[in-house]
Order: sequence, then C-alpha cells, then structure tokens
Amino acid sequence: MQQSGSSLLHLIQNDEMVPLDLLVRESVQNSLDASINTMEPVRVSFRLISHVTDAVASLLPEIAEGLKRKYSGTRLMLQIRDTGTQGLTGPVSLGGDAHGNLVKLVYEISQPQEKKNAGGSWGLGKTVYYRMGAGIVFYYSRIRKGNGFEERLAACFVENEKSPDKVMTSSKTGIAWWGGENIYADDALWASALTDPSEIGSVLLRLGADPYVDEETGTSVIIPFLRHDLLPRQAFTEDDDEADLPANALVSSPWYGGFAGYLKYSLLRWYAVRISNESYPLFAYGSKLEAVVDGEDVSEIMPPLFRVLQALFNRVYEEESDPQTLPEEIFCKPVMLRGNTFDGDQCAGWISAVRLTREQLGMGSPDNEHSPFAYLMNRGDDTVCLPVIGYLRSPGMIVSWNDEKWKKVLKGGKSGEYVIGLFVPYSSQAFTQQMAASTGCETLEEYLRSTEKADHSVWADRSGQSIIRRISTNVQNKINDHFFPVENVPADVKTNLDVSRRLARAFLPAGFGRDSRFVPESGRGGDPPFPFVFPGTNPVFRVQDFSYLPGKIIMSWTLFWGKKKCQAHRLSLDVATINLPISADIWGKDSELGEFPFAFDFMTASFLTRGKEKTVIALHLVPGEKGADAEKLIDVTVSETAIDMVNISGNSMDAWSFGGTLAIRVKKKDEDLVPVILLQADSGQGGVQ
Amino acid sequence: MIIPHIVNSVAEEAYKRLQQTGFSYKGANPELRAMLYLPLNEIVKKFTSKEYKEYTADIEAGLVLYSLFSPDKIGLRSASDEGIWKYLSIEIAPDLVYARWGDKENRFWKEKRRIWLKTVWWFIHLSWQGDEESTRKILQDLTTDEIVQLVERAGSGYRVDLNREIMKQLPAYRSKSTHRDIFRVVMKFNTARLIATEPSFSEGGTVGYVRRLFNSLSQR
Amino acid sequence: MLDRQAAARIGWMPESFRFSCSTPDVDPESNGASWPGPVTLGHQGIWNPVEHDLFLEITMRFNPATFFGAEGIACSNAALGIVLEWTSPESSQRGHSNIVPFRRESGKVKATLFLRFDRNQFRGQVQLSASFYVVEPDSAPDSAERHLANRSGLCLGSLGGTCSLFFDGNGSLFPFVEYAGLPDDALWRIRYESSDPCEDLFVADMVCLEINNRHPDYPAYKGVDGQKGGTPMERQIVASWLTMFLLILKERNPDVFECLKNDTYLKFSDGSIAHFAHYLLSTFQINRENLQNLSATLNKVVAGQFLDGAGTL
Repeated sequence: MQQSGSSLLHLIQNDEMVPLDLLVRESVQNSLDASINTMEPVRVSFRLISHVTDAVASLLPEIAEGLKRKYSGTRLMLQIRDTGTQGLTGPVSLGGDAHGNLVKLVYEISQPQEKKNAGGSWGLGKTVYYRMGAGIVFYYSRIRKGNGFEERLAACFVENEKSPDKVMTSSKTGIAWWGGENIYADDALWASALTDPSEIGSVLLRLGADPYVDEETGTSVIIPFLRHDLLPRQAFTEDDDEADLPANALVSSPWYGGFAGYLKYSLLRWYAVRISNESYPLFAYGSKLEAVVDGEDVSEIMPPLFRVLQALFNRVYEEESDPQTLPEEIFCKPVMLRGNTFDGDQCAGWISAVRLTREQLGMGSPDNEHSPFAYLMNRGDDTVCLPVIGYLRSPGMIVSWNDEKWKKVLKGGKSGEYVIGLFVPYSSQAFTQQMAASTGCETLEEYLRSTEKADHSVWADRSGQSIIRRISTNVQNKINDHFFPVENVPADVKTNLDVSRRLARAFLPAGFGRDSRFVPESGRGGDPPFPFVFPGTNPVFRVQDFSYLPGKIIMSWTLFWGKKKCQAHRLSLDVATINLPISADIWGKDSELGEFPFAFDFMTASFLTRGKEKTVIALHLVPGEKGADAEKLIDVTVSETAIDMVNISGNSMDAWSFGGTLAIRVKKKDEDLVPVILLQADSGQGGVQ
Repeated sequence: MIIPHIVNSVAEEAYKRLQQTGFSYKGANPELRAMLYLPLNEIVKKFTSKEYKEYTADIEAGLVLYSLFSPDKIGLRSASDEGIWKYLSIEIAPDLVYARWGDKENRFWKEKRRIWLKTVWWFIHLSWQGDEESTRKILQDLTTDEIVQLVERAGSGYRVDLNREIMKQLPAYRSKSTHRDIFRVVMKFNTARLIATEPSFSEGGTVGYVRRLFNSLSQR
Repeated sequence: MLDRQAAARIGWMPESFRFSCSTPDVDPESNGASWPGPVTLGHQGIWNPVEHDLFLEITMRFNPATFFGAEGIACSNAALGIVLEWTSPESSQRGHSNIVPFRRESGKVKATLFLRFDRNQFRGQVQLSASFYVVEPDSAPDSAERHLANRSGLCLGSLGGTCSLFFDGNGSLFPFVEYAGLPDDALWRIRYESSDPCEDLFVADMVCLEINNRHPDYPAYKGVDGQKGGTPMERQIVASWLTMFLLILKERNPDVFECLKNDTYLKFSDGSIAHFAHYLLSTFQINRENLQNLSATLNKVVAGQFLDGAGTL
C-alpha cells in the first residue's frame, strides 16, 4: 500500500527524544554509512542560515503561493553537508526497479514499508528530515562517475495530506518531488533528480548552499523553514504560545546556548567516541568522524565528560588507559552471557566505566561545566545521582543513555560523584546455529541493529528473546558490584521505632499484649488463707506467723504432700541469696565462708489434714532426733540443716497436708543473712518458702 | 552513635552464611568496621600467638569496646540490647570473634549471656574504675570463669557501683588470702548478704559494705 | 518483714505521681495512672526513650509510729528511710531514688521521692517499688527489741506493690525490622517462625515484616522524611504482608485458621499471633470467603488505615 504524507510523518513518532537529537543521529549515521575509505575521516558540517520564503518558493513554483501564504518573514534553514563520503550514487529515478543511494534516500520513501532491498532493511529514520521543517527537503550530492564527477539535486516535500492548511492542495498523497524531468519507464512517469550542473548551481545559489568542488564528493541535506520547537521544551516559558514565536525564538537558551549550541552537544552526546578520537580503532568500525557546527570544530569544545567517554571506549581496545587522559582507574570487564548464545566464547561485549568527582568533570569554577545529566540526557538536576551508562553500537553511535527502562535497577552513589560507563558490544560475535535460526541474525550486531527502534534510540528484545535483557542485567550487576559494594545503611533505630509505632497505631488493638499504650488492670493475688487451699498436684511447703526470740525465729509451717505419689520429702535449711539459695553442703565447700550460719532448733508436727478431716498428731523433735507419729504415718528425721519426712503409712498420702511449728537458730546475730527452707520433693517437684 | 540491631531470625541466617562462606568480614558498614578492626585485631593476634591468655584477651577486647562504645556514646539501652551485639559479632567483626572462639554460635548470637563482645563490654562496665589504666590494673589476676560469673548473673539488674567497688578492693584482699578462688567466694557471700542489705544505705555506703564483706570473710 | 497488716497500720498512701521531660514542650505522655500504675509512656509517639529523658516524682504520706518498738519492725530509736527502688532486667540495670529518713517522733510523714532516667537508658520495662530501710540503728535497743533489724542498710520490706513503667511494650510496636540484605534480594519479606499461634506472641522474633534497606527501591519505599502516613509502596507492602501472614497461619495451623474464619471459639493468649489475626479479621471485617476477597478487602483496609492518618480504633 502506498505511503502517504500523514502515515510517513507518523512513522517515527518519537516523542521522547528531542527532534534535533533524532536529526543528528540520523544524518551522521547516513554519512558514516557512506564513507569512502576507512582511513579517511568523514566530515559532517552543520550550518544554520536564515532565508526568506521567496528563496525557496521561487524554486518550487507549484506550491509557491501556498508557501508564501503559510510562511512569512525570515526563516531558518539547516544545511547538513558531509564530505569524505560517496554521495548519492546510482540511478536518478526509480523507474525500472532501480537501486541506489539516491533513490533509496529520496524516492523510495513513497514505497510500502514491507519492501526490502537486498542488502538491508529500509531505514525509516530518513523520514526525520521531513519533520524538521515545513516538510521540504533538498538533497544535493556529488559523486564520482567514471573518471569525473556528477552532481545531482532533488527536492521532496512530505506533508500531511489531511491537514486543513496544507500547502500542496493538488496532491492526494501529500508527497511530491522536484528536480529533473520526469522519466517514463514501466508505463509510468517517475520523478528524477536534476543533474545539469548549471541549473544545480543556480539552485544552490538561491539556497545559499556551498557546492562541492575539487575532489570532493558527498551529500548535502538542506532543510528550509525549520520549526521552532526542535529544542527541549524548557527553551520556552509557560506564557509563550508556540505559534506566535518568531523563528529566532530558538535562540532563547538554557545551558547549551541556542540551536547551534544544542547541535554541538547533540553531536557529542551521540558520537563522542568517534569524533576526532585519535585512538579510534579503525579496524573495528570504520572512519573517524569530524564534526563542525557553524564552522566550529566540535572537538575543540569537548568538555571533559566526552574525553572521558573516549577514554572509556579506547580502553576496551587497549590494555590500559592513558593516565594523562584519565588518572582514575577504569573498570573494564567483559560481559559474558550464560548459556549457549554464541559460538566460541560467550562474550557479548565490554562494560567500561569510571567514577569521577565533580572536580574531575570540571564542574566547579572556573570551567563550570554542566553535569553529565545535562549533557547526556537534558536533565536539570542531580538530586538522584544514578550511574549513566551508554550503550554503543558498531558505528560508534550511542543507542541510548540509561533510559527509563534501565534506570530502575541501578543504584546511585553520593551526589557529587558520578559513574559514567559505556557498553561496547562485540559486534562480530556470531550466534550459534540455534540462536541464528531463532533470531534470524548471524551476528550480535545484526540482532542489535534489527531490534533498534526506527530512530535507533533503544534496543528492545524481540518477543521470545532475552539477549538484550541479559546484557543489561549483567551490566547493571557489574556496575553495582564494583562501584557500590555492599554498604550497610544502619537500621536507624528511630526510624524503626517510628514505623513500628505507626503500623501499630493502624493495626494493633489497644490493650494488646504488653501494650505500653494501655495495660489492663493486673490482678494481684493476695496471700492464700490459712488453712491453705491447694488446687494443684505438686507438693507445697509454706511458712508464716513469724515470731522472734533472741537468736531464734519461730514460725508455723504447712506441707501439702501432693498428689503425685511421693514417698518422702526433705526440707533443707539454706542461706537465701539473690540468686539460688546456698545449701549447707555448698556453703561448706568454701572455708572462707566459715560455719553455716543457721540451724534448725526444733520442729513439731501437730496436725494432719486428709481432705476436710483434721487429725491431731504430736511429734516434737530436735536436731539429731528421729521419730514417728503415734499412728505411724510419717517418720521424721531432723538434723541441723535438714528435715526428712517419709511416708510409712503404707497408703498413698494423696492430698494430705501436715503442719506445725518450727524454729531456726541464728548462729551469728550480726550476720545479716537470711535463712530459707527449701522443699526437695521426692518426685522432683519442689516449692520454696 | 547508632549501631544497628538484628533479631534472632536474621542473626541465624547470617550466621549460617558465615558458616558456608567463611567467617570473614563481608563489607557491611565500613565505618564501624574501621573503628573496630585495628584495635581488636591486635588483641586477637596476640591471643592466637599465645602471647595473651584468654583472660587477658577478653579484658583487652573489653577495654577497646568500652572505649569505642562508651555508655555515653551508645547508651545503656543499646548496650543491654543483644541485637546490637549480635550485629557487631556477625556483620562487623566475625573474623575476630571466630579467632577467639571458633565456630560457636553461642558466642556470636545464640545465647544472650554468652555473646562474647557483649560479655566483655559489660565486664569492663562492671569493673570500671574511671580510666583504662586503673581498670586494667585491678583486673590482672582474675580468670575467664570469673568474668563469666560476674556478667552472667544480671538478675534484675546489675549493681554497678557495688561491683566496681568489689573489683577495686579485691586485689588487696587477694594478697592476704590463701584461697585460690577468692573472687568466686566473695561473690557468693555477697549474694547472700544482698538479700537483706542495700549497700548504698548501709554504714559507710557501698565502700563500707564491701569492706565489711571482705572483713567478714577473712575473720572466719 | 513487712506485711499487709503493717502497711495498713501506718496508713500508707501514695499522693501525687508526676512525670516530666527536660526537652521543652515534650511531655512523657503517661496514661495518668496513679500508683502503682501500671504506667505507659509515649502515647502520642512524640516522647520516646531514645531521644528523651524522664523525670519522675511521687509523694507519699504515712504515719510510721507503729513501725517502731517491739511489736513493730524497727527499734524505737532507730532512724528509718523510705526510698523508691527500681529494677529493669531488660536493661540490666537497677538503682534507687533519694531516701527520705524519719523517726518515731516524726509524726505524719510526707515524703517526696525523685528519679531521673536518662535518654537511651532503658528498654522494655522498669519496675518501681517503695521500700523501707534502716538508716541509722538504735544504739541502745531495748531487750525486747533485740530481734528487730537494727543495722543501717537492712531492708525492712516494701509497700504498696510494684509499679511497672512501660518504656517499650510489645503491644505498641508492630513487628517490623529493617535489615541490610543484598541488592538483589527482595525488598520485603515475611518471617514466620511460630508453630503455636495461640501462645506465641506477635513479636519480631516470631513474626516479622522485614524490609531490605539495600534494595534499589528502598528510597521509593521510604519516601521523603516527614512524609505523613508512609508511601504508597509501603501500603502495598503492608497489605501484601498481612495477606501472606494469614495464609501462612492457615497453612501451618489450619484448625486455628478455621476457628478464626468462622469466628468460633478459640482460646489464645493476650498479645499472641492468633490474637492479632482475630483482631485483624474481625475489626476490619475482612472478607474470608476466599483468598481473592480476603486480599481485596485487606488492600482496601490498609489503604484506609493509612490514609486516615493511621488512627487507633
């Protein structure tokens, strides 16, 4: 299906990228592709001149009226002129299934997208020229032909045919050409380029463009009626209405200083590694690039950042970096993919990166260079200082700078420090047979090229493939690991508390657990009444009702025998401590401690309770004595520091309790020690009183 | 100064990683590491070369920690938080704790009373005599076991002044006594006395209390 | 030793019980409890034990006459003292306030006791009790009084119970922990160690939301300092965490979960994991029909709880 003006203009709707960047990338790419001889540099020159509408209109009589109506006053024209290149060779028109540079650039634009030439896919990027101005583009070229030269000139106008104020009122498609005589072939009339030198000469004069002379060959692309919104939007204030702005509104400037300035930085941004790079590896990629804007060689204004990029690139091909260019150690490592992607080693390319300070980038005075974020991405601020990684492709043009898709996974360092890196793919790396079949490409370069969007701005894996994703993950990991080694951010105690409390306020009930916001009334048990009620099964020993005689403490005692079929219990007299009590045996082990300070004085067992029934027994013993009660239920042995009671009744004493009085003698009055009686129950349970 | 703290589950996992990948410093918080490494490494080296006995290594390590993380720098709230000590043991100085104790998870995190770094810090805290030299002097003749006894019995809170006074008067008493284990005996007796008496309110205050404590023993 | 009868005999009564802080305009936000509390601090989340100190003042009244003499606890001519003792096992510390002395002749005593706690001194709780000590012994005690404690420093006992000051309580802190993981670990994870949700407490050692502060998204999760109510990412994480929490509970203890789901009787300890789950499901009326609904209602609730300024219910 034939293309129309509107569909073409839609093809590269790249709203993200600044239009001038697109233009720079495309035009320089084309020039480099056309280089004659890798040993000779390709030189691309950008020039901005002003023109009056009439200069152009007079060349295009059919639309002169329309042009004059739509465009008035002085306008800007951009001329992109390359040398050291072949020029637009081949036939001058499409008729007869022609192939050649000229027809490819100028005339095939109207052909359906699906048509592919032998030798590569059709670059849609060329449509960028038509988006830069009114839609009119002049192509002028000089080529070698035989022993001499030939010049060609043609113009093409692409306009949205649906637009209400279109200039080409008679065209249905919105695409039209000017140039030489139409050529008849294959039952159709085909537009063709002008080749007559004198006619070409007068057109160039009208346009104010320089002809090619001497041995020069090359191509010039001339774009009149340049739009004024080609720069990043911050060139304008909010009050400006774009339509009202005169052409020279372009000169309102932020850091790059206007149209020409932006072009310079754009060239550096995308082609720095190739621009006048002395060490540029010709064997790898082809000719060096010289870039000029309005007569000024871009390499002369190259800020340190771009020299760093060159150094990073060169480092991939050289063993070491040149300490003069870059005293910092460059981190350069191959990016190896896992699995069987390539024949031979699995190297997809190299990451070359370095960490620099503001000073090293010349960001302080006196140079006051702008930050890498400004130079490379038009970003104003560096509050979030992430590493900046450029992904290169074989022509040396950087495909993208760390765009949105990748930024998320990289981490940032402290502000004031920058990490700049380049990924250089190993272009000629061949795929395995399997990969080649599945991707349809023989080499990595092919695959990368094929996945680039029409504007070369991003690599995106084709569905079912993951090569690019793996490369970028690998790059990010290497950068992270090398420049941001595992660094602990201390868990700020206050932060943790803040968050914990905030979440608690939202989600925890009042009175929850040991809540420091609210604690319910805690019940406090009192002393159990006497006689004691024992709900449990364990034996328990209790004393109370203390009275004192000189050197003696007298108390009442009760022992609940317990439900656990115990045969005997021992009450041991210990010294209380803030930890565990000290028994007489342990006390005795340290002679320093001297004599054990307490002793039982006497003990009586006066009653026995079985359930609700209380029986009187009468047993009175002093240390050294042993005896049983009248009914022969228990046998008691008393020593100075222990009382042993044994069940001799022949029955179980489940839930029985005994009680009586006992006295403790305090051997040294001034001792300030406290006695305690421990119950050592036979079954292993015990209580302390 | 804020030292991060970690809970048991995190400590357990991190310790397993150490066991698998070696007890080396993994790169966390370089500032803390820089603070600790040189002084502690010196001590650990002397321990490994047998120049320092266990006890001396522990005292010296405690002194280093106490100086770097003094109570007014980190607060007793942090010092009593095992999580801090677990963090320091596992993330900041695993190689040093390992050199002292080997692969013993109790000393790194598992048993809160045995985390080495914590124990030695508290031991110094409980023995502190106002400056490093005086503290070192009175601690000369004790054993590791004795450190353990002092620190492990935190009860419901250490009696710091009392402990410091006991440590202070101990050397003089030790020289008079023939008993090998004198520190242990004093502490034992002290625990019995404390049931009824509050040292700061007794005659002569804490100093008087301790003097009487020692005197009672020597008179028996 | 003192017992309740002794306390009754001297008519011991705590009067005022006040808290303050040395930082200007900061109040310890105690719950206004009287002795013996318990006292909770930092209600509004402004006062906290890390940044702020605490002054405490309590006044007590009593008539100690009956303490002295053969029937009492001290010799007639001894001097006794009342003091506020404090212990904090979690902070491994203990100490006491000023001691206010009195004798038999003192008549009715009004004792004001002060304590100052430093910032960053305590974790957990501090227990306070009012204790009596012999300050000065009777130099010539009566023969009938010889059994009585008569040496300075001897403890005669405490009165009025123990007051707990809560500096950090489990219930006021959601189990949340930040840790330093690896950058390609997840940003958040749930840790769930409990096997007995009805007994195990809802605390960080059992169940926890862990945030990896070395993850590249951590800055986005954390947001800007001073940002109220957390970031959108935090809300999402909390909602997901709560969903996972309930799911793991269901997986490990399906019977417990069934009871929670059907709102049938379930016995659980105060502050336990099951307690929290029950609270979560019932208070916020989470739809438990199926996982989808559960997740959806949880998400809604979480957003609501945060956007409302995270108020308590």
